Amino acid sequence: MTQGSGTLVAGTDAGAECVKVVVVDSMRRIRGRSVVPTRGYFQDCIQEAMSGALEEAKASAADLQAGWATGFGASCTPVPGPVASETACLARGAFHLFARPLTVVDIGGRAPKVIRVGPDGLAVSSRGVRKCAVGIGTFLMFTARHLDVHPTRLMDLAQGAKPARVGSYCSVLAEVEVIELLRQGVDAGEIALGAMHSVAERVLETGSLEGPVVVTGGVCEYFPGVVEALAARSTAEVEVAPEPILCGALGAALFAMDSLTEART
Amino acid sequence: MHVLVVGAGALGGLIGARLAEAGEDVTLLESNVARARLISESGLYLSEGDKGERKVALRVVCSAEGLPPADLVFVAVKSYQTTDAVRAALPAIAGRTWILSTQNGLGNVEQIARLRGPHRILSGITFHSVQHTGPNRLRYRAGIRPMQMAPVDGVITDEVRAIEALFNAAGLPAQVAPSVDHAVWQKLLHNAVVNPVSALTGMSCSEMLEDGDLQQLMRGLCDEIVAVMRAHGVPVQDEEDPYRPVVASQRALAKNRPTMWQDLARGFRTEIDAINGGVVDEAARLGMKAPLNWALVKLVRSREQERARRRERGERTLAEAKQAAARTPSRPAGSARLHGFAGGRVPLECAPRLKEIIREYYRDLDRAAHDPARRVAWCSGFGPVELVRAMGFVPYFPENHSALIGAGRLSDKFIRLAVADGFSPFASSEMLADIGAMLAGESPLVAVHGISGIPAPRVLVYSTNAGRYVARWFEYYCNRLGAPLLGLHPPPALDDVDDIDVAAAVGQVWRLCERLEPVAGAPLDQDRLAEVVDLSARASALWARVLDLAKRVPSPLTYFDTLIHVAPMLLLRGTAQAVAYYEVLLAELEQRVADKVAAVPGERMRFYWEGPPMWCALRPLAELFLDNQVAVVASSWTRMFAFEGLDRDNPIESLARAGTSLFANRSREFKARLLAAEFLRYGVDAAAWHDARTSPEHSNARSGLHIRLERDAGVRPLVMEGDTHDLRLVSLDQIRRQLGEHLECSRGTAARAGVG
Repeated sequence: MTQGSGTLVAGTDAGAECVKVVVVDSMRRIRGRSVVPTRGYFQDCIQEAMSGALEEAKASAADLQAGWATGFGASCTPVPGPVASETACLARGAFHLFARPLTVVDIGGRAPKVIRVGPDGLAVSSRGVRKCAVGIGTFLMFTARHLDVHPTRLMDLAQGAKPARVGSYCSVLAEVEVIELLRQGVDAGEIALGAMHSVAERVLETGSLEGPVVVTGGVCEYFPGVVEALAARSTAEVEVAPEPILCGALGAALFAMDSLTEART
Repeated sequence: MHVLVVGAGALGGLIGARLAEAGEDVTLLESNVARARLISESGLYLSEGDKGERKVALRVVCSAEGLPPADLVFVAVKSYQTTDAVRAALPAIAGRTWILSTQNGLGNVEQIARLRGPHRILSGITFHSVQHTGPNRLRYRAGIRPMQMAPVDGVITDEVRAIEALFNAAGLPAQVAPSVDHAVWQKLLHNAVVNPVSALTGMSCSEMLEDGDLQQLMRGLCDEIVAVMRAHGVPVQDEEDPYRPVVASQRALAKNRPTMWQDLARGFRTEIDAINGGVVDEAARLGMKAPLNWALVKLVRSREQERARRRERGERTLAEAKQAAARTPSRPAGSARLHGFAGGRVPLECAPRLKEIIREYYRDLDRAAHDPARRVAWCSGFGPVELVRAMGFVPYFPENHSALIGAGRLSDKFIRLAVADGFSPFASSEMLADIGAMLAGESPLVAVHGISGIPAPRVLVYSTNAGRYVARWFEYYCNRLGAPLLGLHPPPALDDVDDIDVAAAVGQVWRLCERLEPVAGAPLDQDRLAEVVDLSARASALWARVLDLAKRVPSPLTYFDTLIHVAPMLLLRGTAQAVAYYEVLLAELEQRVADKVAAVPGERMRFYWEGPPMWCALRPLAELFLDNQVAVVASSWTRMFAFEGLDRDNPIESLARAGTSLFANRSREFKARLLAAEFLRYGVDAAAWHDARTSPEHSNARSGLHIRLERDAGVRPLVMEGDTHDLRLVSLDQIRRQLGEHLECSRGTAARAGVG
């Protein structure tokens, strides 16, 4: 394996809804990426995502110089390697993309996070939602299933609708509310938008957002209504990270690359 | 100008902050690692009068090695620390460095001169009033007069004028004078007359003013000092009656007590040697005598030394206990794990002894249950156990039973039974676990201590001082078991505990006595009550000292240890066994401090635990914090068992007052103040707030106290959702993640502040 930009590392973000893997070169550019839904065992999903990312990078597992993992299932990587917290990886990934102090709002399958990142790229604070309010992406997937649309189409359904009122206290209760709204014959678009607003409210219940805000995680990729609701409810400037679902995996890959650089110096 | 402030206490903090704000290059040197770290990481918050608070970032170091030579060293430590502190600062003291001391008493400048020679030393005096309002928060009132300073050699150079200008530019008015002798002696006159007398009598200034005998003594002291001042050639402020200004200053201080009183009460060293001792030395130099000052020095020193003697006694007790243990080889080997939870990586030698006295307590309870001549009373943990004991009852504590069920991870099955019996799953799980066990007819006590079962109560006695749910819990047993129910309901949510509140509580205690007497079959024996209250007071005082040892860095014990070793305060409060146990425990822990044994090896962070214990997850939690090298050093819950003010000469009133004054029974404001003070005392980096799902009354995070304390005390909160007994409401995975992220963010802050 040649040194220089040919050096490859991988970052794995094994989330509750999706496993994300990115392959990064020494110029810290993404060379390969893959997102697979988390179904069945984490080990299998990670393996599948890894193959996908390597394929896009036109490389094989043997070409990887290092691999770091993060996320709910981080401990399940087939080859045990270093694990970093979600906070650290998201802060690292977002700071790499924006290179300024910012607030990362990460909304993924399970537990959303609000992370303040300081001028040096390190996390200053990390807030999470109450235990009852976790399972955000999972809740939106549930809503899509009950509205009988593919998750990517939930947003189309919501276009131009007024949001129905869906509670934000508890994920399970919110799911019951969605079914109740269907029983009452409420318009599917209104329910779709209401579900997305409920998610934004859960995030804002953790405290006000200090700008500039960067949104990451799978939810804003599939359900942009959540970001619109966040922006409407907050005075801060809200923007979506490029390839938002990959931010955590990117952070993990950057840590892996840092570890190689540090080892050499 | 390079300024090194030695000592980051109240005055050092103020001077450092103001000079830093004025753009000077300021470093603080502080030997207390926890304080240094806190101020470095979180900054110092300064407020003046009614004006809002502002944050000042400060550089605080624990060693002067590697610092550039300072232009000015400002000494802001207690007079008895002067030599050590200036010696620590020597690496930053060069030939050109000026050293300024504005400390109390006499002899400071001489101590400094002995270390670096008599040149370039400024003697000074300040009149600022600076108070700690939080671990890194100061409130100050500008001095009534400018700071005065004089070069020891009397020569006012341009450099001295530059130092004067430095302070004035920073908004700290200063004046250079050829000599500050007059001002130093005038301040000394006040301190030497007022401080030791208040410290020894415990009286406030207004109380002393009303005491004719003390005023005579103080006037005598004043006369002695004035005679020395005259012989020394210092002018006296009020020639006609030199004591008049001292009376005026006592009036101004009114209900306040000088800090010497606080120091003595807390067992710290005082500045008596520099204050009254300084007068005695100066008198001797002038061929005079100052017998009253001499006597006060001896009296205060004797009180200071009491602490050292106590430690010696503790070491002796420990040695004797070890010998006794060696003589009883049949006892099982020491184990750190009691009732199924981790006690820390370094086991306490006391643990087997604890197990033994608890076992003996339960065996005696079992004997009482089968002896028709003895009567068992069920009692709430913070209730009037002393009274119950003095009336001849054998107390049994459902709360301890419930804690045992929780820690043994048995609550799940029992809670389900109680819920099936009609209770809500969100009713206190502490109560549900105990009631469920009764419904199942099971108890871990049978297996753990070999007793035949829970003894039937002749009476149920509780106090709602730790929460109203206790009344519902005991009421259930009253209905089910048919025993009479007697309760105390002290006035709740108190800010100050006023006499009117205590009077109400006293009335309730007397009524409880009247109603207990027929059940006991005998009237209350007041002498026996005095004896029990005295034993309880002694155990409380020892327990408070055990908890205080966690102030040491590294801490010799953790919160998780205290949850085990608090058991005798609950089960055996008011007995000689509890007192004897805590003497041994204290001695062992003091030995740990002397040997620098850390309860959490490699302690790198200190946490406070607020809220009720998470009994059902104690062991994994203890291990989680231990693995992360976090010492959870203290908690308001275990502190509640250190009952204050119990007095054998006034048993009923002191019981009523102590029960009513309990932390859990106080206002939100009181809790905020107390916790801010606790955070400072223990030098904690963060606070873990347990929001227990079924224990809202003890979960202070519910009313946002964690946010308030973060603002007021600069202590970062970590709110953990969980429960006391119901494991289904606890997610250890979530707590593990939260702690990991908290530590990560703290490391980021530490890295930015330049400390590791």
